[in-house]
Amino acid sequence: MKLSLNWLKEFVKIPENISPEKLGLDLTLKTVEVEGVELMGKYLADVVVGKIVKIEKHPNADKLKICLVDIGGKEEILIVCGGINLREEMLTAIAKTGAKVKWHGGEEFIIQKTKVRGVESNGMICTSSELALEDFIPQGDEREIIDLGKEAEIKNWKLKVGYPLKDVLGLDDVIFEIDNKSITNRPDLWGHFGMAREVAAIYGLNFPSMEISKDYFKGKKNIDIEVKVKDTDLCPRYMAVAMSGIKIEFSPEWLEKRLIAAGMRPINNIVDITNYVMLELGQPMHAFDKFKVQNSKSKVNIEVRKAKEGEKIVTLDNAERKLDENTLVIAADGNPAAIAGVMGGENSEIDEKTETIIIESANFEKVNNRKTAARLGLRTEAAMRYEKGLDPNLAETALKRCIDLIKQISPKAYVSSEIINIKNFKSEDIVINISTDYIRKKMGVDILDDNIINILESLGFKVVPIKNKAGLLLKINVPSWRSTGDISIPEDIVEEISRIYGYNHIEPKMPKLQISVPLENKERTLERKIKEILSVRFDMSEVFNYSFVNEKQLELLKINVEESIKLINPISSEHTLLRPSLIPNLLENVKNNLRYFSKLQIFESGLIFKDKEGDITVRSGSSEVLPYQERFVAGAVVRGKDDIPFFAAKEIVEGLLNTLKINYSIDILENVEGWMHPYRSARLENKNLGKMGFITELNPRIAEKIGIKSSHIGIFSLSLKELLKFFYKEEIRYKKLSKFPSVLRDIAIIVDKEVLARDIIKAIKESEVKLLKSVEFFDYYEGSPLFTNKKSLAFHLYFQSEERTLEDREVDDIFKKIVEKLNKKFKAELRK
Amino acid sequence: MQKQLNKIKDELLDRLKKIRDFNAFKDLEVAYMGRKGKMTQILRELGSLSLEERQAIGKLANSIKNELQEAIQKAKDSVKMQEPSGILERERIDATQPILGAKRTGHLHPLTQVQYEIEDMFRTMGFMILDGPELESEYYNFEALNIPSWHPARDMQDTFYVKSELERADRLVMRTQTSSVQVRAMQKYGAPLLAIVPGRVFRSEATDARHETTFDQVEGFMIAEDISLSNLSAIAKEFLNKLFKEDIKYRFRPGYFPFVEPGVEVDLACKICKGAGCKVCKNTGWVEFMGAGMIHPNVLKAGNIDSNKYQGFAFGFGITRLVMMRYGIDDIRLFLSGDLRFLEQF
Repeated sequence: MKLSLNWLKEFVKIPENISPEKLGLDLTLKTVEVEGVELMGKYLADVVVGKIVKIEKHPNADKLKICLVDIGGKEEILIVCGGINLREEMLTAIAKTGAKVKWHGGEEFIIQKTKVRGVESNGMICTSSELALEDFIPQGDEREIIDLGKEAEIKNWKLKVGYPLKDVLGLDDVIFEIDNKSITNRPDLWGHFGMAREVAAIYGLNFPSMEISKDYFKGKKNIDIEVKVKDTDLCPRYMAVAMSGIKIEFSPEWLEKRLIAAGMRPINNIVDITNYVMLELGQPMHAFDKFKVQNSKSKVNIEVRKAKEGEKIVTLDNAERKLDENTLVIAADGNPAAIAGVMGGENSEIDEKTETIIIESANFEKVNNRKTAARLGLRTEAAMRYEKGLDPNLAETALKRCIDLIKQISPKAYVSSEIINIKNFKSEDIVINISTDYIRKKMGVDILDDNIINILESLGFKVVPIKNKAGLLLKINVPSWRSTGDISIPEDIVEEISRIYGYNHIEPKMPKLQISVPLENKERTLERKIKEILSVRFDMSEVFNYSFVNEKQLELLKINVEESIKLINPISSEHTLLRPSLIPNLLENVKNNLRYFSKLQIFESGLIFKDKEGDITVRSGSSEVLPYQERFVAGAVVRGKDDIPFFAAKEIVEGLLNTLKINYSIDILENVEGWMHPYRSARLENKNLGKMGFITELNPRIAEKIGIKSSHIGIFSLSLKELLKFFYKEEIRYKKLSKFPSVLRDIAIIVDKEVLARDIIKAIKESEVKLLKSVEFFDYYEGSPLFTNKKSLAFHLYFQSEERTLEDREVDDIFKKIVEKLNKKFKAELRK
Repeated sequence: MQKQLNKIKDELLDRLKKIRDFNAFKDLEVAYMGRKGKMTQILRELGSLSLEERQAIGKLANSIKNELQEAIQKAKDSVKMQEPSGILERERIDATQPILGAKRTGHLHPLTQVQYEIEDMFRTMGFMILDGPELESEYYNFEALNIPSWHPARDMQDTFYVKSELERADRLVMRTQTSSVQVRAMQKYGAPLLAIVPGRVFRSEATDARHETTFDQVEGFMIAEDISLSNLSAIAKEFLNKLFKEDIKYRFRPGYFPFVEPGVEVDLACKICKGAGCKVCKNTGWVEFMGAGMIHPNVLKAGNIDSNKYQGFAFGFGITRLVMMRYGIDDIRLFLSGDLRFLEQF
């Protein structure tokens, strides 16, 4: 929203020493966010009225002309110009050298004496956008220069060659750009009058008031209006009045300038006045052409009701709108003439022939209004105000102001009907009782009682102080313009005091609290440990991906799309589903990074989602639960061609779990998912208590399909929830160190390839429980001279006793026992 | 015998002086001190002497033996130290040579690094680190935070809605703010409650260099008896000074968030122009950093906390934006690009 300084000054006398910048800053610190303070006519400093005396062709450019221009100096100057509407004798806007303008309406630049295609040019003939005057002087084609003569005729400007354009236009206002979001909760601030009240409170000025001439109501009442409000909930107040003797014309300049300053385009005097009142008081107004809404009947029949299914209206923006039963309409003689609080209908629009009008000043309920505007995609100035919830009392002030203004501008106009005033609201004052101690406690500041009362009164609150034993109690009456849901509880009062007192005057003070050690978030602790181990010890880099994937991505990886949760309102075809796995996006990362790197190791920790029941309730105490969403850590490893990527991934996972002291077992994963390598996949478990995760390789066929060149990608995925079950469980029991030496024997055996290393190790360990201390895998071999279905595995075996030094013979016997067992169980042969 | 011993001693000491080769020591040691060495042989003969002689010669022999052993060791050490043309020189390497086939260093994501920094700061002040669901019910994301369905504040946050085949009374959304965890935490832990919630949030808006559908926030809240605005200011100050490692200038100004009352915006003095005004701070000298305020009684009520007994403040800010500010990152989309050329810079 834009605020005009001149307009504000009509209601408050802002002290001379307060600069516009200071006012902007104070409003920001105490009331609303001011996003910008801009002087109107900022680009007009060196722009004057000029007259094109002569036009010649440019020798080197078809589209350019050389213009001889009179700018009131001793000599005429030459300017090269590409304007398409240039003609001799034309009065236009000339930016002299040194003027700062906007290049084609964009970046700022300073005009200098220059040569344009070899011809000297001493200034610029301007378009509206180059001077940021589009609102004042509408521009057609972007190469169309300002035709001041034409504009002056319409607007009664006095033009004289050489005159500063700024003086011609009378631009002396300052515009404050207000962030609309910061007044979402302040319906009273959607107009200049409300803002003036804030300015008065900030500087301790007289409370603003608005004068309305007493005889506004004079006139012959020959028009009969009947209004029926069918839906009283949605329309707490409806006021209407007829005015006759209207002459539609352009508004006077001062009014147009105000509208433009506030960012609105002038249309005609009546429409402009309704807009003016809205910008001033924040109350949207609407005017209908009386003859368009009244058929042959003697009465004007207005009905405020919900639309009927199938009803349509062509709105003022020339679009046909289908209405539904939730849309509140203003119907005249049975037909919708406006969508209540959103936009008027074309069928009742004011035009140049309009003589009698019906002015509406009404209050519409905010929720329905907001829904209607959203449904129709029509967030008009009116709708933006109604959806905040306006004070129904405002409708009356605004209607009076509107009548008064119309009479000022169109002197023959008069009120030609009784004022319709249908009230369906209670106007009970909101009273808040609050002690000054409470205010001090909440602020943490020793603000004086008088100071509190002064602030409240400056904002229009009525305060009755009541002294009692406990201190000073304030009985506070909230003014009607703040009684719209804005102020209703003691905390709201604390806010009023705090902001006007100044948040930045509140001294920081540390809270007085009892010391306690915060509860540990175990999942976060574990996650952090994992991240640190993976990055520090295993040199993996952490990536983050979107929580979204798309169908195609999943289909390529043969991941079931059905289980995934869909976004109802996706904004990109790339992101339509919630990720059911971290793998698809991780593979995208691999693919993209392989363009720059041949080896890489990445991991991600994040939530995955599935459309099945999770374990978090929708609401406390409810039996309904949110969909499954759990945290996983997944990694991808691309190493050199000689490494088996599965083992690279396995090394990381085992190292990680061992560091975390989490017990696990690794098993062949039989039922692999579509994207996994069918013969290089394992699952991780802890005593069958659940699936901790998996280690695998990307299936090379899939890699090809998704465009990953390297087929050497090791992948792992771990469930944080499962790991957590064992993270804190590990219990360490110290074992005494043996005083006796250990004996090392190596064993190398040849077995069928199908035999699992895990089973061999298990068998070795079971053969000698007492003296065999550890088994260490140290070599793998396949190929000649072994048969193709054979492999050789070699282990270091460490033997040790706690009681004595082992004798060679003893160890030999055990070794023999082991060899026999392996032979019996796996047909293992010793490799010589 | 005494003479013999002294002779051996002189002989050995003389030979030691001439030795330059490390291996020669061993030979010398064997020749004199070994089992069949000269010294040992003489000592064996001690048995044939009288008791007095044995005592006198034995004493001398032992002292000579010790002296010699010491001398050998000393000579050994000195040769070892010098080793002028020995093996070690042949082991010389170029210490500046890069490691062959070295792995690239692992990096934590910049968001994670800053998040951990923040977590540590707050943990030392007694705050818990909490989590919450990213796929959340509309109730906790909006209603419980005093934002009913009709509320205009809902327009401030473009929300992703989510479709589930399972029927539920509440609509599901991708949480638009980590504030969604506030009421869950109150219900679970009650008061007093000090917690921060770092996490991912979502908005359905078009992406460009400054806007993302997915970014990270930190929500924080402190609920206890007698909590005031001045406490909020103190905690904010403490945190900001630690975070930026300097006395950072900040200011409070009115801000509107339905779940706090009073509500404030916290601005930081622009670090780029030092308050003079530049493009980044839109010429104001300040950049918006976080929203904050005193928790609205309706929110405490939703969390089953007695708002007559307890008050609290809450604050929320974007870590993504903070990281961008800290490292001068000009494109928010890099965070989720997975691009190692970006990630390996941190």
